[in-house]
Amino acid sequence: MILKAKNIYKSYKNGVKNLPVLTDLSISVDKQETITIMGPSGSGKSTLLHILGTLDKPDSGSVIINQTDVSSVSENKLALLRSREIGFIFQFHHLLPEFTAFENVLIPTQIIGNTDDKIKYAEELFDYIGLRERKEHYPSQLSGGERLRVAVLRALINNPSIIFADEPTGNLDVDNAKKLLQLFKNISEDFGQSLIITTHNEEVASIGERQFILDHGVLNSRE
Amino acid sequence: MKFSTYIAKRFMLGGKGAGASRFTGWIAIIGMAIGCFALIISIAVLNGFELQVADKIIGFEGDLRISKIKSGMDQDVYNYLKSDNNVSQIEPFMERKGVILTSNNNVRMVSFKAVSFEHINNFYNLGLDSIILNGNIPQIFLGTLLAERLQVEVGDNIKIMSPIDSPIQIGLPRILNAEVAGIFQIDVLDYDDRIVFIPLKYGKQLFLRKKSVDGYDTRLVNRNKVDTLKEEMHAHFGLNARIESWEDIHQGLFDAMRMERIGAIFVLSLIVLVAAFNLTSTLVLVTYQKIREIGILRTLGASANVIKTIIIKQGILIGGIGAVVGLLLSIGIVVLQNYYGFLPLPQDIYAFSKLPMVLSVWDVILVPFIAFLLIILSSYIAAKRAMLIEPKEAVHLEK
Repeated sequence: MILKAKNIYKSYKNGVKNLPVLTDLSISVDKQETITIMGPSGSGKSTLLHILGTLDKPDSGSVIINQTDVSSVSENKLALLRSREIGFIFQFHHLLPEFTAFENVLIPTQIIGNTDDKIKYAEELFDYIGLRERKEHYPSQLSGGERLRVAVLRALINNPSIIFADEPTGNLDVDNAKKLLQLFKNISEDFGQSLIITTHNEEVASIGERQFILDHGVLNSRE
Repeated sequence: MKFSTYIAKRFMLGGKGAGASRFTGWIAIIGMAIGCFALIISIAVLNGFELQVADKIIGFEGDLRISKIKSGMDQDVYNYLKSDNNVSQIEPFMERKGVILTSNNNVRMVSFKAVSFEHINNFYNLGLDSIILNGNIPQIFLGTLLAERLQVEVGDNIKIMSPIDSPIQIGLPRILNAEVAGIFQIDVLDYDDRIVFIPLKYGKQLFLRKKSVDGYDTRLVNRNKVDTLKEEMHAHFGLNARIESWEDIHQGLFDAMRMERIGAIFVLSLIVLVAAFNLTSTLVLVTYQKIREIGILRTLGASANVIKTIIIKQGILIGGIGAVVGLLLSIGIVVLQNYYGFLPLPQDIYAFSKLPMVLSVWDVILVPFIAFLLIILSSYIAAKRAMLIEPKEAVHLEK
């Protein structure tokens, strides 16, 4: 098992009141498994992804990633865990504008200091998504779909155990959304990563081996 | 290249799309450059003045003075100095307050210094081209200011007397007729207005109260060992003689100059401090412009400490460029001034024809050290702000 979250409770303060977002939520993800989570806006999908991805802490409950209880490790170790075990893909590509597409992909390797070993692999990844000739372009010189595919490579470069994608097609046109969806389908087969995707999109949700709906802080299996 | 350095270089001055932060960044660089430039130039000028004044004083007075020698011990002192290998010149002297009278009845109270005239121009660096001495009549050397006040020129006859050496309780003291043999210009302290050199043999005629010499002025082979000789002589002669280096004699003056230098360093460091504050605001601005990128780096696995290091390195890069530019410019100015003297001084006001500038290795280390400390401090303040950025909030920002 790659990830196990148990009895997650999270609330936000709204004036004097506590507004619960996630209530007693549990989920586990196996190796190479793809999970999709649907839910209306404000249902807490992003909050859940942040908690599972160690960007946020739950009020109570535990998250275990590759046998590491994230609540018991220091900030520095948590950062190390993120760099080695977790990949993120956001709705907005969030590539760094000062760096070329190729440099953007290599940034996670710079963080853990293994860039030299990954350069060839990064080139192969660019071949994989068919953007080799665009790798020296800056994000501003790429289309929306290309940027997001580069962001996917950035999430893949350190061979993380699990990738979180937060509404990845939310900002794309139909064609680019289809290309990205195909890429997601291939990722778990070709790279062996587990994948958790939050989405509004039925088609995206359908690629999940297990599909969930998050509603009023509760995660239910999608029939 | 380390990750933090790699990112800091690319984020410098706000990176792509930076507007205000690039402008304030350049202001920070210019401010830091001006601060360091002003600090170094000021230190160089103060050093230059201090060294020039010290050179003039040492030139006029020698390295070590032995005075107030206990009666009967002057020969012992002379022998001791003669036996020391570090002593290159020994000049016996007598010194008294006295009076000069001119033919047109101008009168001035002066300090007579009776010395051997054989080495006067050489030992006391009077700066006179040639001295023709006439042994038959007392000849004197006086400063330009005193000559002006007395309205005398070279070759004029004057009268000199030492009232405190009057041999009898009533009546006039002994008066000697003398001739002005030379007029010197030292331009330091009140030497040009107060000191009058007279030949030692006439000094002995005039200063009747004490027949032996009052002391010895000495020059050393190695001036840096003046304190060693002073200590040795203190140990040997104890209270039987007063032994003072040129620095001891003018301690008040040199202490004042050092205090002035410390004050200048402190005040001018404020320019660097203001530049450092400017750097803080630039870095905070860059941090907030880069809030999304910082959030992304956090999600990719950069710890808060790495983010702190990135911001501090950015500060060092921005502030460092300014400090280095200021440092190089100022050193260039000092070098050029020493070679070409392109910054002149009016010599009738100052003792020097060009603005003196001297830098020591210590100064060249001190200024970047002050700048570096302030840069680190200001960068650290900004970096602490950057550490507070929550990745989960930053990644939701759209650009």
